[in-house]
Amino acid sequence: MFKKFDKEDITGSTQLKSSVQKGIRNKLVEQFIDLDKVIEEILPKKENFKVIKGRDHLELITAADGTVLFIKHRDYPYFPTLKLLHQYPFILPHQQVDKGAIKFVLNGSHIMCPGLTSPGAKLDETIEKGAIVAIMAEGKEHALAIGSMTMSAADVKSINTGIGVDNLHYLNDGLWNLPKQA
Amino acid sequence: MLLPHSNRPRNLIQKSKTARKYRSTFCCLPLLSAYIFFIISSPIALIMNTEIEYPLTVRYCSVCTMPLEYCEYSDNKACQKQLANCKQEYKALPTVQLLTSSYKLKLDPYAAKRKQARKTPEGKNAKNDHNNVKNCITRNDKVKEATHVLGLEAFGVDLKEACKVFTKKFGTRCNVVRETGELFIHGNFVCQMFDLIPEKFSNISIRDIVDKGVRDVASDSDEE
Repeated sequence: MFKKFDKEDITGSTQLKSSVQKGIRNKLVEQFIDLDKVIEEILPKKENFKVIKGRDHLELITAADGTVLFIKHRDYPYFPTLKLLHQYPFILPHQQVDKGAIKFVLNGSHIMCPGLTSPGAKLDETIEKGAIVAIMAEGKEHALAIGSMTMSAADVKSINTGIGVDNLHYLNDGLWNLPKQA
Repeated sequence: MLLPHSNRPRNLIQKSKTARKYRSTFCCLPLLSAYIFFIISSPIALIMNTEIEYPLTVRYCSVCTMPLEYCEYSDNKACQKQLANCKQEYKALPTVQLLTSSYKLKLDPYAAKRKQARKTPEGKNAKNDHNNVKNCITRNDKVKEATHVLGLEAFGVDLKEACKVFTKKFGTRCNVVRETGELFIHGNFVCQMFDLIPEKFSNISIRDIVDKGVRDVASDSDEE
């Protein structure tokens, strides 16, 4: 999604009402695992966070100092940036791809089912369609990308062809290299 | 048509028992070792670990801005030079390494003469014997190749069992070198190893095997 994304794609930033901010915070806590324990460090209640609007129905939630934290797109639920995920790896469920897929994922390609079912890959079978997952790489400690399941994990295992996970945000893409929006 | 078990010929029954025995030992071994391997090298916990302090600090490469372990996938050449620093923190995945070496047979001038003495009856011409001994010596001056297999222990493979597998398959002698944990096989079987090792040891895939080329070891071995 963020293959070509830079400053020019940003159309404006808005300050939100505190009631709206509260609503967003609750939604995030609801969606991610164990986020409520660390939400105070990420989005403190007393500080107002900004929303930056981008082209193509894109909203970036940034902290007061300008670091992008969460992304909201029209077609997908909220998902965190990779930098945030590296700091708090437990907020998303993990799917592991094998070594051979790393090169392609880093080019922005979507994750095919064989990449999740081959030896060296780990598939978490409890995950449903449309869920946001962290994509880990075989033999690596940190997340490689963030994606959204196009079919449930059980389907990935049985059908084993076609796209399994949509690649939303990966290392060294446009969003990763975006500077702080003060 | 399946004969009932008691009516089957005896040699078939025995074969199935031994096959079952080897299958069970081989099945348990890779599973157990793979399990242990994953436990030891498991990544950051999926669930929030109360003992770890969050946020975690991640070291990013100054050149490619990715976490250090991904430096090898960056296109930047300067970044790949930094890989040496990265590897100290992130150990490379274990691999099975194959090396070949060549060695000369030790010259044993008396062996040939002993052979000759056995064949010819006593009292034959001494001159003839000497000539034959010379020929035998030059014929023994052969350079033979050997294969070294390193790194099997990291996959939990029992070296003695592996040795038996190789001797059975290739029909040549195979030794275990205990100090380095490597297998020394007489003969060059590097190509066959790529097919044989994944076939016999299920937790090693063909991507884990690396051919490291020729090792410069001048070793003398006894004549077989």
